[in-house]
Amino acid sequence: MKAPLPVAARVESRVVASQLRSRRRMLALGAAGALAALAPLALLHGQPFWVNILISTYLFGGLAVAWNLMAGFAGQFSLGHGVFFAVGAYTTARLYLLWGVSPWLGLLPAALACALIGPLIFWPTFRLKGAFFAIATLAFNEVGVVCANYFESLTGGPRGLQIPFKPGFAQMIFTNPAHTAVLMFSYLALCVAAAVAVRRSRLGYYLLAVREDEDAARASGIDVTGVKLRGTALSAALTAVGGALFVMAVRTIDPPSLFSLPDIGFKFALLTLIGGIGTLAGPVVGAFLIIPTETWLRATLGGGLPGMHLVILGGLMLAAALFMRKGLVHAIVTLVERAQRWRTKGQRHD
Amino acid sequence: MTEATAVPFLSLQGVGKRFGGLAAVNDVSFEVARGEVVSIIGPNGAGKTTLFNLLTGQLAPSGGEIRFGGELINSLPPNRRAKLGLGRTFQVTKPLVALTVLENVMVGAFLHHRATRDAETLAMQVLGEIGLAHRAAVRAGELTLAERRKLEVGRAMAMEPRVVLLDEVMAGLNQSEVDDMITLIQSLALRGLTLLIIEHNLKVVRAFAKRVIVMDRGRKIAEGPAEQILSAPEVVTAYLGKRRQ
Repeated sequence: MKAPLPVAARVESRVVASQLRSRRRMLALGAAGALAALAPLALLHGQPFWVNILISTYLFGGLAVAWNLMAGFAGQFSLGHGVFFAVGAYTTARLYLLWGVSPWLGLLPAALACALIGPLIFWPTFRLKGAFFAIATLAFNEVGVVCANYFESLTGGPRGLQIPFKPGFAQMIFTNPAHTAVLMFSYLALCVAAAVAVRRSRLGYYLLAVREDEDAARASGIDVTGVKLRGTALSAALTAVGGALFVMAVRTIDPPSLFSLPDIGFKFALLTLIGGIGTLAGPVVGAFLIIPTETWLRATLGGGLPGMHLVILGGLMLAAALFMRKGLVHAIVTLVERAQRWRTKGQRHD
Repeated sequence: MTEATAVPFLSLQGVGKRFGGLAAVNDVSFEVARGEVVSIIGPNGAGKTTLFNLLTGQLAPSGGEIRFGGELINSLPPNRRAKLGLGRTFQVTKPLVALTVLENVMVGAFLHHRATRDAETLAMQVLGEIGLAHRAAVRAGELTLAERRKLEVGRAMAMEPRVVLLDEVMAGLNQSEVDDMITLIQSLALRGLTLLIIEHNLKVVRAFAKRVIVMDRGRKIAEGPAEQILSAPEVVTAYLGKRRQ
């Protein structure tokens, strides 16, 4: 305040410098992350077993990132995201089967539908907090099962929908699973890019503010419900796109598989929690950690010791819950911060 | 006040708030002019914070009229009032603990600046002014009480408000921290900001408020220039109790 101009100028230049540095760092980090995520595909593209694992890893990584937008950023722990996944899958499949609409186009109305349905069904539940919100959203999943079984003309009812194997880019059906893997990787990249853009935008800051303290957020001029609804719309739309890609990759869907809690609805949460909820990298790290482990365990133990993979997986999750309550990414960040502090302290003492 | 030609900047007319049978704020009326610094004092439970919550919209009044810039704001939610230019701090500080100090202030700065870069520049400027620039990258959860109180002021300032409501920003601070905070608040007043200050520390009240409003048991019991009010017998009684016989 003593010398306003120089101070302001200094602050300004510092801000610009930090922005440049952080932008360059983000780009470098993003490139490194993309390379690291693609490396296993480059190495294993000839082995269908591993390529299939990578397909689900990329897909569920993207889905977890989408879920994290709402649960991690906005603090709204939704267990109802399976509904958006299913709506995305059914819409795309139905449009394709009925009128031959290419899934590339079909995923747009699917995403749009969820961007509208999401805010609509979540609105009444936003007055609930924490576990109560989670349980209420869990009910959406059950309603979804009932609807999917009932509206047979749309969903095929309990028999589900089957998509004939007609390979081609326009149909989003590939003979080479590595191509499907590339598609799923693109989805993951899209979700991460969206999350980064949101995190750095006003909406991102507002979502975090709402998560941290709703009263403080309101006093800062934030329309809390509006921000939650916008976060929901975005998260639901991205989840629907994941559902659309899923249906074209597996080509057969029915209510039990789409609304399965352990395989779909809870999985988004599980991957994110293990990796680190509320962080950008957490959901991706969680997916890369859990999905290959789970599939590999099931494949290797499934024959001799059926169910054993669940025991080991359960043990892993228990360990994570006990020792890394905020997830792997948080644990690593804390370690790095501690190391840095220790180093600067050492320098000061020298 | 009747001969005033301009609309009062902030005015309360018979404002009350009942919680069941308890009138936490009862028929309170006063006006604040633009650029004025007004202190609200009173013993614990007098209804000062409730009054703030009515002003900022955290609570809806049971009766009366609250006008800001001539506009009736009784039914506006807090975020709309913030947009009109009402900034506040919380008595129990509400830092966004997982966010850094800079990000906390940016949340306020986003109110009138859509672009992240603009919000960051403004937030850095505010941090420089409140003396927290060196803590910009620290998580708000790691701040000391004095720093957290400054952060509250900073987040409110970044909203570029027309009125700031300061709710006991001195409470729990030591002497040097209090002096620091007085300097900060004086700099806000010098800038022409309208300030409404809830304060217990009478020495602090004397330091900047020209006008003092005294509340007791939900009512406004006195209002006037600081020197006159602070020695009035009913104020002394409300604050210190009756002299023992």
